[in-house]
Amino acid sequence: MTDATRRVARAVAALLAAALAVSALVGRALAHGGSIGQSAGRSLDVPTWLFLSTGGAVVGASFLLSTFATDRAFVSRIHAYRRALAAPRTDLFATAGRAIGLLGLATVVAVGYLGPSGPLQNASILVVWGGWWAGLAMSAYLFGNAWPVLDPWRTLASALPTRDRDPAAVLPVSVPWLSTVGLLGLFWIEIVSPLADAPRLLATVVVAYSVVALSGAFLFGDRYFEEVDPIARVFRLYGAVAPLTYDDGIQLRVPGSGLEADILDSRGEVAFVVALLWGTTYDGLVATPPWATSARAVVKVGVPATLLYPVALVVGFLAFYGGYLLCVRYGARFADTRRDDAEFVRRFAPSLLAIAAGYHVAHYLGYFLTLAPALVGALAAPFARGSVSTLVLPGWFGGLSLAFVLAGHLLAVWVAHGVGYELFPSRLQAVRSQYGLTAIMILYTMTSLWIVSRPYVAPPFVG
Amino acid sequence: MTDASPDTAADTDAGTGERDHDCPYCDRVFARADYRDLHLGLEHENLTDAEQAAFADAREAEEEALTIFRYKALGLLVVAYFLFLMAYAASL
Ligand SMILES: [Zn+2]
Repeated sequence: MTDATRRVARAVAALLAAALAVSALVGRALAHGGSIGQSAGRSLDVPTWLFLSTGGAVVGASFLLSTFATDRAFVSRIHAYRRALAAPRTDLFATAGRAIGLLGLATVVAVGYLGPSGPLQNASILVVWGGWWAGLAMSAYLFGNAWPVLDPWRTLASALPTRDRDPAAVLPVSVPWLSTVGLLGLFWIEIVSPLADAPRLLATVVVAYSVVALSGAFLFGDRYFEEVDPIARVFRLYGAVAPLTYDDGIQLRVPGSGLEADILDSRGEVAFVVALLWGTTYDGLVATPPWATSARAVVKVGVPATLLYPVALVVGFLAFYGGYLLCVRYGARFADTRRDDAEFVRRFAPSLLAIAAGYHVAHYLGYFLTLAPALVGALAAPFARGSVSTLVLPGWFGGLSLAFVLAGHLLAVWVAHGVGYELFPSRLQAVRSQYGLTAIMILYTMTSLWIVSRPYVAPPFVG
Repeated sequence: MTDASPDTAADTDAGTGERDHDCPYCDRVFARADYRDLHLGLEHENLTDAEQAAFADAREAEEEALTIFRYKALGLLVVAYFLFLMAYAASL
């Protein structure tokens, strides 16, 4: 054993021991804090503030622990690890994927208009929300991004003529920012409209989206999907978290190591990442009792309910974005560097994608599993109006979502550690550059743990 | 260029009076000479003897500073652990 490997081994052992000690604490908080699993009747009850600070402390402690991994070669070896996987007949899989995507789009539109009107019986609702937005999005960060192949609009567009213009030259606004606004718009529609209950409306929205996507592809060709389309961007960014990458054949890598690279080109793309993180958070926030109470209070005072949701969405986004910029810029001062602030803002932002993925899986895994049997049933007989079977999840399942939130944050801390090492010649500089980022991550963790641990109530004034 | 000692490559920023330390082989600029020396050793090959020696010194100083930092981090972890233990004990 060389000196370096022994040091690494010691660091890893210390890391594990400390993680176990901390998780023993969190385990108790998870079991008794919050309302998930209806633990109110149990004798031990941890106050919310303590539960939230424990979650925040886990992120802070994991940052401190990551600073023990100081062997540059070890850190970069983990992040650069790639292993080529043999992929027989990728062309066949791609063709099958395109066919499945087209079939999916046709099903959503046809069954949306003609199928049963009960949401849990209608394959259109189940395919879009259960199969696509929950299931496929999860597969994008857990395995790899299959959307470019499945994307039915991309497949259709490839068969149609295109002008192949440059979006940046044609559009009067910044393209990534346009994409960001589009994403926030999609979150808004998802939350306030009854899209999850009304198959006809959902099919209409999908048709409208198809018109937009195909016109975009007519103008810009493939660049529409690579630069403008918010959905393609979401899947691409989620795919950067995943252990599989298709850039150069199919390769296996350590999850999160795709986030170390300089994958964001501009401030607008950073805003998009923050919008994705905030949108997923907001999705959970509006389904908590305190939101319902305050929303009713605000509407009672005279604020129109239709304004409340978009305003809160935008204000929250600005708070998350401003908080991120402020913390990273302020944190850069500790690093004593001549590098540009804009570079830190760009390079550390991908680590937020690990957090967004953690929130997403916390939010949607249970939803996906619950609906999976109904999805299969509806796909098997799209026009039948039979009984619906859903999966009943055990009570402890809610506790898992807290673990997912934390896991996303821990991955983000590790990613930021690697980015710091790449940016700075001095390892202490790298550590210091992350003070601000770690602070905002702790805030994000506490926010989302609070949201995830509230009981679900339907958002008021929507649908 | 290669016989220039690292410090003659340092400029003085007229506005702030802070010295910048340039890398002689690429366009990166550093706030401190030891950061530049570390950068040379990590990113460039075929260094002069003086640069090699400066890298070794900077590396050693970095290791020492890291060791101190590790003790501080460990101390902080222990303190946090006990604070949480006490908070949990008090709230049960
Ligand atoms: Zn250089």
